[in-house]
Amino acid sequence: MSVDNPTGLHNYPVTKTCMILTAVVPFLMAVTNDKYIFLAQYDPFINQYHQYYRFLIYQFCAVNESDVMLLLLLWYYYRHIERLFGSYKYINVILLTIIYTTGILSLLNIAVNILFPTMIWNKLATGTLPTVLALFHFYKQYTPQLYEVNLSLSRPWSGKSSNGSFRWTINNQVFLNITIALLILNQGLTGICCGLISWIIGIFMEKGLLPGVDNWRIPFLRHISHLDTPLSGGSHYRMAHAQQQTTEIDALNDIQAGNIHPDDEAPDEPERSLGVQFLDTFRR
Amino acid sequence: MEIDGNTLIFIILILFLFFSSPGGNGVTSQYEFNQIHLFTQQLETEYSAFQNLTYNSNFKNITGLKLSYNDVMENPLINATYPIDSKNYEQWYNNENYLIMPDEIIQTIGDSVWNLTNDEQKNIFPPIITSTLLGSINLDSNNKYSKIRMPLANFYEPARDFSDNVPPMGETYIDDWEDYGEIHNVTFTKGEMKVQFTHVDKVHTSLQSKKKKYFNTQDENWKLLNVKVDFTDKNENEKHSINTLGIYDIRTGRILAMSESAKFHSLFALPHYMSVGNSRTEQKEVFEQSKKLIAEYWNTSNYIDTLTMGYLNTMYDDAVEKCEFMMFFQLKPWNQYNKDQLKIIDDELKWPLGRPANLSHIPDITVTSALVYSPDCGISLSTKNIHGERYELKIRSIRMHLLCGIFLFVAQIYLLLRQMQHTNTPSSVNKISFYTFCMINLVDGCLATLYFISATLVPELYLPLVISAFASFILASIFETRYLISVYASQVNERNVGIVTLLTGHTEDPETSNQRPVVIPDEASISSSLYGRFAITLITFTFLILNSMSWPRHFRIMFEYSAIFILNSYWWPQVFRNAIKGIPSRRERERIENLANRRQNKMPLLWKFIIGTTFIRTLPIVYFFTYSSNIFRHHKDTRFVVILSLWLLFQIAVLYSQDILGARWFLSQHTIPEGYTYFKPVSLALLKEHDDVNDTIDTGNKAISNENHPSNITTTVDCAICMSEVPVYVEELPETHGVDIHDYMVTPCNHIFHTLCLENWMSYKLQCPVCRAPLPPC
Repeated sequence: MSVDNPTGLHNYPVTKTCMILTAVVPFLMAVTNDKYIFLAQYDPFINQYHQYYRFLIYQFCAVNESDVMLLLLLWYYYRHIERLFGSYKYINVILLTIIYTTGILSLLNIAVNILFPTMIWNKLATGTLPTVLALFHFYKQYTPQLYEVNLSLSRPWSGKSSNGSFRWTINNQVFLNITIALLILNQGLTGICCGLISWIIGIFMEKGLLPGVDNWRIPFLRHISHLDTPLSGGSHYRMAHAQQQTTEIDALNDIQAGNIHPDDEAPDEPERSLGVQFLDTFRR
Repeated sequence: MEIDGNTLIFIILILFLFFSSPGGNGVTSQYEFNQIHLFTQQLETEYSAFQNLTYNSNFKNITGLKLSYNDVMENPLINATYPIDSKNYEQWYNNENYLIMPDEIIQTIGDSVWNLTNDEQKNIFPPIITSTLLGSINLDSNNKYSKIRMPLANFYEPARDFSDNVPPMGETYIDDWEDYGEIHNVTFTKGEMKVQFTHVDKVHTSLQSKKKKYFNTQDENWKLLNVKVDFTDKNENEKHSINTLGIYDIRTGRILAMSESAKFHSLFALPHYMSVGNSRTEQKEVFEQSKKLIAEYWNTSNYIDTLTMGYLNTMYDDAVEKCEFMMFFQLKPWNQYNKDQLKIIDDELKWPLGRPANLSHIPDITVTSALVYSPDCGISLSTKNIHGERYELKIRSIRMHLLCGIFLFVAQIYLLLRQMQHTNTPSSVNKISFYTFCMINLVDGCLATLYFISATLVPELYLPLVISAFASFILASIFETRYLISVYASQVNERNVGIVTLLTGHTEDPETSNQRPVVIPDEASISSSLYGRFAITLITFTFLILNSMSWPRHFRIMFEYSAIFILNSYWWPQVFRNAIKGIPSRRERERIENLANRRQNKMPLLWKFIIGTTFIRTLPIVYFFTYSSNIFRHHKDTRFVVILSLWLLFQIAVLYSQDILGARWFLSQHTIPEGYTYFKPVSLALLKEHDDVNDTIDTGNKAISNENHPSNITTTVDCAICMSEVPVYVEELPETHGVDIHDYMVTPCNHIFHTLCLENWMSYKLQCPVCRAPLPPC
């Protein structure tokens, strides 16, 4: 069963950029010893020092190295979304998510701290945790489950209620779920709190409560060629259609470059229906 | 390697020797055990005497403090054994009857050193003063004052032989020794001083403990410091260094440090001397608080139980070799800050979080005035306005400089890659000078090792230092050595050829050239030998540099200047190489541009690379020699930098002139014999030498006889590369004179090829494809 995306980051420019930034920014900041500017805490940075910039930039660098590793892994998992949306839409969604999560989390934090001066919520999570959690909803929404496995353990705990065996159903996304769980647990209560809020933000964005996912586009990036795939439309039809187009274009390019014989790559099977094409996107 | 029993035993023996160093306090013999025991006893009695000491009582039986200045004035040869008759032990006043300094010095301390009165707590002093202060020091007098006699207990002496188990008892006076020499004096009148303050906040509680413990309960007012003082004359011929404990009174900005040795247990003297220059009421407070500080340090660190043999030996060596010094420092107040701001600054420096501390405007730690007095040598020195920035700030600025350095390394790697791309065939690499890149490589390699060494020494800068080391190591050992290997491999033909031969490009006689071994080492053996050479020169040179740092100033500077000068002459070998290769002038190169061998006539070094490399390599030198507050405190010498820059500019100018006028313009025409030319008519005799040529000549002749058309008349040989025929110009046959001699090439070993064929071949290998004889590059 061929279920995997092609491995590697070839043709995933946005994912590649995100991964590089996730790794390189913390590294540079560690070398220059400036990592601390990415710590976002209400007390003392906002209420005493009025360093509001911290609430704008905290997502760009994960202060903990373990967070960096987890975020790298998650961005790699998310390349499915890039494949699905196309690079241009994907980068728009990411930017929009960053803007929404940064803004909403910062404003919420300030509001909570003004309303309840007892410091119940001081810190914001560092790194792209909020963005990743918001995109997690997109991932779940658009990626179907491929298989599931039932784990049944007989008498896991030798307690009295040993009449039934313990059953646990996991599916192919379990590794992603575990990584997400690790990520939010890694920053403690702050991570859980910020993560859940961001997840809700992701849901709102997808449902249209927070507008922009379907029609907001950054203007100046439109002309960058490799991002300018026809995938940037919203409807499934156009997506599937375009997917086919791009594969064809890719194949053509390869043929022109003289790499591959046309016979190897050109599909010799009959025309597939749209539904099949769409589902095939995830199957092969 | 097979490990048999003997090898195993040998390895175990070596490991045993490695790991069986004396643990704990370092005692290895009965004698040393007794020494430590006596030392402990001595310190215990002295500490109990110290505990009974009040602000109003005299030192009793404490080493080095048994006599006062007045006692020695009255009787220069007085015996310092406690108790001394007629000495008042029950009272204490800050004058020469009680202190070991003359009244004049006490007066000076009160008037011009510790003269800041802090009645209403007006002055605010920085609580944390970790820093290195630099300044100059003046000798006030070295013969005016009497020397305090300080006895040295005999048990400190090392054992005379192995059977010696009991250390000798009694005391000795070093003044009575015969070889008691000039090291116990300061002979220069003006010198340089370096003071290093480090805070001692935490101490190990036992010899084995890994953890340190805080001991100071009066942390907001008193600090215990480690004080390192070095002063030397300008030429660094005479050097005095003291490493000891000091106490710092934050309220008044006074720092007192006294050297410690087997003849002067100064730790116990600190409370009394801290109160010099205070009124009687303050005296009590100061005395009690500083005594408490010392006692806390003593008890928390388990001073008695953590003594080691190493410490005892240092004490003995210091007592024999050095004068004792008492140092009184007065800090400059930081009145522009209040206490809260100081706390923010200290926190931010210790643990940066982005607090509003404005770190770029923090003033230097400054000692406005200081007095250094040696009681046992009677020397008095003074200094004013020594200053230095906080250690953490210094580390910050070094980090910035390191980052700039990394940027330079990256730029150099980029330029080198461009250069390597520019010369990607053996024929073009052949024109590069091996020694130019050797010099460049040596400098980069040394920087890599020095960065590696310093990364282990400065833990605060580990990350940037390791990255610098990594960047320079990649540059030196991967890119530059790689390039050196290909340069070497392309020039291996010329290794045993004289310079004149190279200049002419001739291989002398075919016979002699055939005698030369034609076995050319492959790249693997070249690279292994070059890497070996690289490593050895690198290690030697690095050791030389490290060693030179401890040389006296005069030699050090001479070494430094000549090394910099020689290592910055890196374009000369290339100038020489260009002249050997005889690269034609730019105009000539443009003229032959349409020919196929255009690529081989370009200048070997890119101008981008030449200018960029010179700039990258000169920038740090310019910084260290012209910017007087540079991070290494290197002295300023603008003249040297100007000369060096002119020298480099001159080298570049010569390279440029070679580019414009041709590489041999400075050599007169007749000094250069004509180089080998591949394009020449062929003689019939030469053709006949070849077996297979005869046939071709026959066919050629046949062609002449068959077709009586002069333009078609050709004599051909087979080109061994493309296996097709080459028409040649034969001198003796006028029919063949229609052939262009630039269409074929004749090698020195008399093989004939198509011009295109051989030139393509020569860009890979400078060997004849037929007989493997070396080919002079064209």
